[in-house]
Amino acid sequence: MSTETIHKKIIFTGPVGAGKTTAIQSMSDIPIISTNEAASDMTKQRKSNTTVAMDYGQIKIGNKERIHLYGTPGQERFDFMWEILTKGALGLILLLDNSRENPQQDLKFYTQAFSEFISKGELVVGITRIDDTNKPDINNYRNWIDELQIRAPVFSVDARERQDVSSLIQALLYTLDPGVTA
Amino acid sequence: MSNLNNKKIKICILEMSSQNKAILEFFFSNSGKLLFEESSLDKAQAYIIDYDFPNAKESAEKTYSSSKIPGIIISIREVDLPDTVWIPKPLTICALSSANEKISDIISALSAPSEQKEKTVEVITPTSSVTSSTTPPIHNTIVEEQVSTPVQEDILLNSISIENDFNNGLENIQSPEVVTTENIQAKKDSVPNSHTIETKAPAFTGFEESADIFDTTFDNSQAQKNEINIEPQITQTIEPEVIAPTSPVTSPVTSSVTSSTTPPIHNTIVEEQVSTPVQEDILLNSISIENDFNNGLENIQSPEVVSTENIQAKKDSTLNSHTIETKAPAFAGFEESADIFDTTFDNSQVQKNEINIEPQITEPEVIETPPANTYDEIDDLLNQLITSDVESFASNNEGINVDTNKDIEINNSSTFESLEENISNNTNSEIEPLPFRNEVIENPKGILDQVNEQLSNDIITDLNSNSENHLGLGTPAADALDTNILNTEANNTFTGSEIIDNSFENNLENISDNSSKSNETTGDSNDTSINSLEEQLTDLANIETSSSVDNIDVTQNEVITDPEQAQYPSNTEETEEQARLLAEEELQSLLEEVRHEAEGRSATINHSINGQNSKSQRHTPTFAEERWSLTCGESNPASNKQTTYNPNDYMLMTLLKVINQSKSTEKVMRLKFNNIIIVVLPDLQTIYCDMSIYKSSYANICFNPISAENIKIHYLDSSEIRLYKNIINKEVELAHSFEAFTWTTSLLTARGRLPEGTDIKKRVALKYWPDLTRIETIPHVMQIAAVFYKHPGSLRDLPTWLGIEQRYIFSFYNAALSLKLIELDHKQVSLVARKNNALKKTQNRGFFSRLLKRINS
Repeated sequence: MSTETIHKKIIFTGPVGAGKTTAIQSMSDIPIISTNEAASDMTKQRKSNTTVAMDYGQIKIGNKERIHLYGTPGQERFDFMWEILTKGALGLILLLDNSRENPQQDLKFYTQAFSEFISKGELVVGITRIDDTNKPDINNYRNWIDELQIRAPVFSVDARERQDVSSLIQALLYTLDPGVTA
Repeated sequence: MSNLNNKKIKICILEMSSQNKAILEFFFSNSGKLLFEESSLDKAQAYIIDYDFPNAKESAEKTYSSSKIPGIIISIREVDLPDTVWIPKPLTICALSSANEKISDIISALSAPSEQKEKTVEVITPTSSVTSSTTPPIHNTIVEEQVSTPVQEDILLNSISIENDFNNGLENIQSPEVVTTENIQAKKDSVPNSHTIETKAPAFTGFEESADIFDTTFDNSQAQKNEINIEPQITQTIEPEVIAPTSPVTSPVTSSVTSSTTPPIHNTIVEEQVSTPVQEDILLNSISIENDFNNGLENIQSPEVVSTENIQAKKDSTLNSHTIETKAPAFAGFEESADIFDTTFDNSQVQKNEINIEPQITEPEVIETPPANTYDEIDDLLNQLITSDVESFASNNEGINVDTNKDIEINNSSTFESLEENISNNTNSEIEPLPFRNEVIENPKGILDQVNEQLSNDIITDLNSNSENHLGLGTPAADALDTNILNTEANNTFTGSEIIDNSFENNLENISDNSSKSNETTGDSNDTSINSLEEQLTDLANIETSSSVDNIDVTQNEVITDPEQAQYPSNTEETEEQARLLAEEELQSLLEEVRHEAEGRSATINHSINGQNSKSQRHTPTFAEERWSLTCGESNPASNKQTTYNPNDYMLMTLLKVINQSKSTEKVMRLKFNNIIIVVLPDLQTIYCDMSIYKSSYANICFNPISAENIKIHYLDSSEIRLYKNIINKEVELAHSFEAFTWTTSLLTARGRLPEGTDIKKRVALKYWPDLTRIETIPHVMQIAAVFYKHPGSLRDLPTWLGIEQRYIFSFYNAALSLKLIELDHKQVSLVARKNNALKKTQNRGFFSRLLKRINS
């Protein structure tokens, strides 16, 4: 058995306020490192602080293995971070805020922005705030993803609930290797 | 790894992120100590800089232009600067080792001119006349400016004030004021009696090494301030002491400070000639200089404490205290991201983060041992638990007595259904706290032993027999009775059904075990069974009122509480200790069970894949297992006599039709069957059911065929809609999403069976994943979904592929089919199958498996 430390990373992405930071917080074994700054643009309407560079959390498996959780900044002007962060990642978890004006557009934008990664890696989609706003529903998202010719699991999630975020990661792992057993 | 052929290079760390700085310092003090030695800039042979750090470019240029030393540049992008080596991020030990070789070459290439320069300096060094053995060494003092004669004279005149200046020397070091020749002249003119700074020079020159040390401990800006101050001070002071009048720099100075107490000044570098004849005056003031020096030395002592060794020690201690050793590897593979992150932060932000990281890394590694008072807390908690259980138990017993008697009296000739319902109502509430029941199963003998010790001889016999019966340790007669009763129930109530309601079975089992008489009841006829049951219930009531000890057997819960009850009267230390031990075990078991049930996943642990139970004892299912037997069927394939069903015979099909119609018409519809009301509200995408879908009674309704004639469906008017919406707001737990309600109803209907006509050899693909976070979970659901989604396979093959029971796969298939998530287009199935190769073991499977266990824990 190898004694080398194994590091893998999972990326959380999505628009501003979708719950990326919260999701990482829910799963991380360490207090997350956030690059939150006071929001100065349209973001201010949704939340007072926003991630400007990235969020970082970690899941520890024993002493030797680590899963690093990275959250990308939501705003498009920080998109230069996205490619850097996704390099070598196990998979991508896209969180979409169902209460936003046009979540379909968000879905399109982020799947296109990460199209290169999605074509090679695995994507899991989590819809936040769907319990508050039941339109569009999960079937709408399934159809939209179909239209984009992408195959990905779609779940309703509450980013504050560890079990929900855990399900996203589990789905990602099972999609990567359905033969894996817990 | 480090190359032994490499040379050790003195290196100065310039602008650097906290993380990388920590890595470097760790590297320099460990595996890289043969390659690099951290040094201050003026002694460094090279510098290392994080080029992505704010202001790093300017700093690098400035350093190169001033020091002309080569540098190692760390950056995410290639940097091509003269005399530099670029290391791409993330920072690695290999890269640093290789950079050592390259930088050594560059240093060698640059060494020729610098050696020549040093030779020039060496010529100057002996000229220093201040060679007293007690004089502190002054290294590498650089004289950069000419000093005019008038200034020197003034210096000498004011030499009396040297001592005071020395005392204030350190304070003056902090001053950012640059003392130039012109400044001195101006000062002299304006304040004739003021103490000129030049005479402080010897002290400051002695400080130089210390100042370097300061640099390593101070922040950059502070260090720069010191540097600015020191240089002109040195310039002003050394010249009058060292340089002979009108003589070239290289000529020996014989009349300089020669007092035996005067400290020697070595390696003083004078780059320009000084023509002022000041040596005599210097000699006159030598005494005061000596005093200055002595005082200066005292001042030097404090920074001297921070010697090179001390710095190393400090670095080590700092590393240890900040647990950078553990932090470094964690970030090692991800510096690229981390460094970019640094570029957007200011220093303070980074430091804040660094502080945050420390406990994050160390805390989870610590194996926590319970504090001494934990057991006391547990004891208190358990006592409360026991007390409340005893109280509730007492009240429950009363309820049972009254209700049971009433039922029997009133409903002697009632149907078995009503009897079941009454019994269920009374017993279910006590069965609900399952942890107790599991405790009984997990350690039945242990509990019995403890109970036996506590109770009197009279009680032991009774308790033993009752407990053993209750624990299922051997009552064939009771089992036979159960079977008879259940058969009766099945025949009378659920005609055509061959599957026994487990919860009902358990309820009856509990009751049957309560009386020793039940052991003797082996009649075959249904009437006999019912009669004997009634007798048992009557006996139960009698027993409960006559003996508190026998209460243990009323429900499974009391097996736990009763030993405690039995212990309380004794009031001995021994029994308290035993109670405590028992309490700990119970609490642990309780917590374990609650956790498992909450997750709803752990119950499969005791099930082997082949459905074999290795335990010789009869296995009592957990709450989750019981539920899964309702949603997925029994674990033993032999007990699933029917493997197919006709959906049209069940409520599910009617429900699906109502949902579709309601969606298409966008009208609220109500479905009424027996005592159950289901309301479909398309605008809310919600289904209201007035019965909990987690009750066994709802499972029975779903599982048993119905006649469509008994179902009443109609559209609701606005007043009714308002009514139901109000109810939904009050009873949120009875409202479900379409998907969750359909999923559960489908599972309960199929119970591990397949719809008639299903071809188990045909490949099946999943079109969409179910919304697994919002539907009732079944074992292996994620895995089954992933396989169907990526690697379409037949219902026959999948159990073999995944090594899981087919009932789970069949159940999933049923439910997904009801939700229209199964791909029915065979071309699409083939396409997906072609796109994704057959299920293969991936490189990361072991890691994924450990990760799954970790996030599920």
